[in-house]
Amino acid sequence: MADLINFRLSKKANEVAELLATSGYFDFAVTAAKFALAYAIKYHFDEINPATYTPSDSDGSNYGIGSLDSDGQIAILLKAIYPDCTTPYLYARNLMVFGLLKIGERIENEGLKSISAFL
Amino acid sequence: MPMNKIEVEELLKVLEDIRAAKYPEIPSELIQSIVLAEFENQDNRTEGSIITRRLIDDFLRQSVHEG
Amino acid sequence: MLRFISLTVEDFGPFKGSQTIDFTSDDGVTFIWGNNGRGKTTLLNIFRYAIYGKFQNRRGTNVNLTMLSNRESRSEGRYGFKVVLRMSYDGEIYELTRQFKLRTGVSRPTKNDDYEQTVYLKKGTAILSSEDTDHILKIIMPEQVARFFLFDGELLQEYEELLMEDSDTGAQIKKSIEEILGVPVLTNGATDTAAVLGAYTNAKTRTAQSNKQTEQLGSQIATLEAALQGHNAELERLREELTQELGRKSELESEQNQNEHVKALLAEMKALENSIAEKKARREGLLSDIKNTTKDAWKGLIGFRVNEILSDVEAEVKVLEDKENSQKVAQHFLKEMKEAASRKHCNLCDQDIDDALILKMEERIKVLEGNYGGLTPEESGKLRTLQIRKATLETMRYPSSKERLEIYERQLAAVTVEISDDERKLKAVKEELEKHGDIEELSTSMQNCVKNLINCLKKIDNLKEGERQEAEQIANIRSSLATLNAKLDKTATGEDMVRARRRVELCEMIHNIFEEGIDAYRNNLKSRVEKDATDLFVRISNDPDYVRLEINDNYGLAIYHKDGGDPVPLRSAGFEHVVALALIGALHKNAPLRGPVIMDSPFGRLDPTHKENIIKVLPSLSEQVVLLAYTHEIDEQRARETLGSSLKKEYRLTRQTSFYTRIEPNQEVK
Repeated sequence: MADLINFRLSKKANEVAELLATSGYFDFAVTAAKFALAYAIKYHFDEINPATYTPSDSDGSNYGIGSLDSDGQIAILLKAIYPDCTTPYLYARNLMVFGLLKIGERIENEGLKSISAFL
Repeated sequence: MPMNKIEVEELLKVLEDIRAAKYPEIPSELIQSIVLAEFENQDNRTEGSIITRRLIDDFLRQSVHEG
Repeated sequence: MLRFISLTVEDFGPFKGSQTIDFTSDDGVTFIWGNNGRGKTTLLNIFRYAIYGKFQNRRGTNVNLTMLSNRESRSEGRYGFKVVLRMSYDGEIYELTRQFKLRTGVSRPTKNDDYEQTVYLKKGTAILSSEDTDHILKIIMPEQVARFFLFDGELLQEYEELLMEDSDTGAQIKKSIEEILGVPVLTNGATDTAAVLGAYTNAKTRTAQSNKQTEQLGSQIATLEAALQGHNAELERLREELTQELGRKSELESEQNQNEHVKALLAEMKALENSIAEKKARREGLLSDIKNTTKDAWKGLIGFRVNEILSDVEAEVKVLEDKENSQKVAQHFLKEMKEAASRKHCNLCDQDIDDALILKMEERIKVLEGNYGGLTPEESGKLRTLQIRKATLETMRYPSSKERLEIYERQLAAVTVEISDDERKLKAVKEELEKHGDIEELSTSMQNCVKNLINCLKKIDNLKEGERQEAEQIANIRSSLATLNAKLDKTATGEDMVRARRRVELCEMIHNIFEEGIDAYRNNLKSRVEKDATDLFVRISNDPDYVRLEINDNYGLAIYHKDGGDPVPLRSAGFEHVVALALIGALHKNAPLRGPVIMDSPFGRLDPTHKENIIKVLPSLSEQVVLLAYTHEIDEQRARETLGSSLKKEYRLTRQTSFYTRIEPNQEVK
C-alpha cells in the first residue's frame, strides 16, 4: 500500500488543532497535530493500532507531508517505534487524529490552562 | 437703621480713652457719630466718607467761629 | 445680632420637595444628624448660597445648575430650586428668598443660561430694593468673614497659614479676622478723617497763597500738596490692584492645586500606559518562547515510549549478539582443534596426539560445530535490523520540555494578571481625568495656568515695589510739607490764617484719635482674643500641660507648655482643629458682628475626650450654634447629656431613596 503524500484530519480533530493554535501556545495547527501524535504515543500507545485505525471522517483541513515532517524525523521515529511500519505518514495521520481527540476530551473536562500539563 | 451700640462699645471705649487723655478738645459725641457712620457704611465707602466729612464740617463751623 | 429663624429648602440637592428647619428663638445648640451622602455639607452650602448667592463644592469649581437640583424632582419634570432663609437682625424680621427657575419657554434645560435667578429680601412685609438688599446682607454677614460663621471642618488647614509670617493666605485670613473684629471701621475712619484733614490743609494753603505775606510759601505748599495727592491716589490705586492680584493669585493657586492633581493623574496615566506596553511586550516574548518550545515538545513527549521500546530492542539485540559472540569464541577453538587433529599435534601443550584421541576430537568437533553454529541467516538479518533500530531509537531519547514550559507558563500567567490590574487602574484614572474635562485640552489649560500664575506673581512683585516707592515719595513730601507748614505757622498772623490753622489742628486731632485707635484697638483685641481663645482651648484640650495660647500679628495661635520656652512645635492635625475652634469662639466673643455659627463635621480627627470637651463649649461659641454631624462621629446620647438644656433642637437627615433625603425632627428637647 502506498503511503500518504498529504493528509486530512477528521473535522473534530482539526477543530482541536485549530483551538490549540489560536490559544497562542502553538504557532500552527499542524505543530499542534504533531504534538498530539507524540501525546498519543506516550499516553495511549496500547490503545491504538495506527495501521488499522480509521478516523470518523476526513473533513478537516488538507496538509502536505512537507509541512508536518520537513526533515523526515517523524517517518524515522515511527519506523523505529513500529518496526512493521511501511507507511509512516498513514500511521502519523491516524496517531494525530487519535491524539487530538484525546486532547480534546481533556480540554472539555479540565479546560485549557497550560500545555505543560499535557507533557 | 439704628445701630446696636453694644456691638461697637469696645471700639468706642478705646477711642474715648485716647480722646480723653490726649485730645479732650474733641467732643466724644463727634467721634461716636463718625464711628457709627463708618460702621453702617462699610459696604458703601462713598457714603461713609461723605457723612464723616459733613460731621467734621459742622463741628468745625461751630468750634472755630466760637473760637 | 443675627439669628436664624428658619430655613426652607425646595428641590435642592437631596432635599426633594419643600422642607423646613425651624430654629429655636432661645440661645442654644441645634444638632442635625446625617450620614455621609445624606446632605450635611449640602446644608452648609445652602446657607452659603442663601446669604451670598454662591455655591462651593469641594474644589470650588463652577457648578452645573441642573445637577444642583434634586434628581427625582427633575425626573418628575421639576427643574430649579429655591431657598428661603428667615432671620432676625437688630429687632427686625427679614425673609431672604433665592431661587433658580427655568426661563419662560424652556421646558428641559441643557445649560445654565436656561435658568433665571430671582433674589429678594423682605423686611417685615415690605420687599426691599436690590440695592438695600445688598447693603443689608453686607452688614449682617459680610462675605469676607463667612469662614467664621459657616465652618467646614475639612478646610481647617488654612488656619495653619496664620502661623506663617509671610503667607499670602494668612494675610487674607488676617484681613477677614480684622473685618469681623471691626478694625475696618477704624481704618476707614482714619482714611476718611485723613481726607478731611487734607481738604482743610489745602484750604489753609489757599488762604496762605491769597495772603501777600505768605504767598510764596503758600504756593510751594500747594505744589507739594498736589503732588502728595497724586502720590496718594497712585498708592491707593496700587493697593487696590494688589488686592485684586492677590485674589487672582489665590484663584490661580487653587486652579494650580487642582492642576497638580490633574498633572499627577496624567503622569499616573502615562506611567500605567508605559507599564502596560512593557508588560504586553514581555507577554508577547513569553508567548514566542512558548511557541518555540512547543515546536519540538513532541520530541520530549515520545522520550518515555522510546526508552521503553529501546530496552526491549536492546534485550533482543543482546541475545543475538551473545549468540554471535559465543560462536566467534567457539570458532577459534574449533580452528585450533581442527589444526591439531590434522597435524596430530597440539600446539597448546606441544604434545603429539594419538589416533584414538584424534577420533574423539573429530567427533567433538562435529558436535561443537552443531552447537555453536552461530546465527542463522534470518537471525543475522534480524540482528542487523535490530541494531539499526536501536541506533535510531538511541538518537531519539530527547529531554522533556516540561520544566521549561512550566516556567514560561507561570511567568505568562503572572504578567497577564499584572496587565489586567494595570488596565483596571488605567480605566479608573481616565474616568477621574474625564471629570476635569477633555484630556487633550487639559495640558494646554494647565500650561496656561502656570504662565498666568508666573505673570501674576511678577505683577504682585512690581505692585509691591511700586507701593514701596510711592510710600517713600509720600514720606519725603510729607517731611517737606511739615517743614514748610511750620514756617508758615510762624510767619502767618492774619485772622483768616489763624482760623484756617485752628481748623487744621482740630482735624489733625480727630484723625489722630482714629489713627492711634487702630493700633490700640488691635492690641486690645489681640489680648482679648488671646485670653478668650486660651480659655476655650484649655477647656477643650485633653493635655493639662498645655496651659495657654499666644497670638501673633496674623492672629495665628501658638500653644505653650506649662514649662514655658518655645511654643509647641509640629502640632498634630487634631490639635490644629482644637486651636482653630478656640480662635473661632474667641473671635465670635469679641466681634461687633454677632451671628450664628454653623459647623459641618468639626470633629474629624479628634479623640473622644476632645469631642466631648468641644460639645461642652459649643454654647459659648455663639448664642445660636448649629452642628452638622454624622451619626457615630460623636456619641449622640452622651452629647445630649453633656449639653443638657443647652441642646434646643435635633433633626435627622433620613434616607428615603438614594436621591431623596428628608429632614425630620429627631426629638423636641426642652
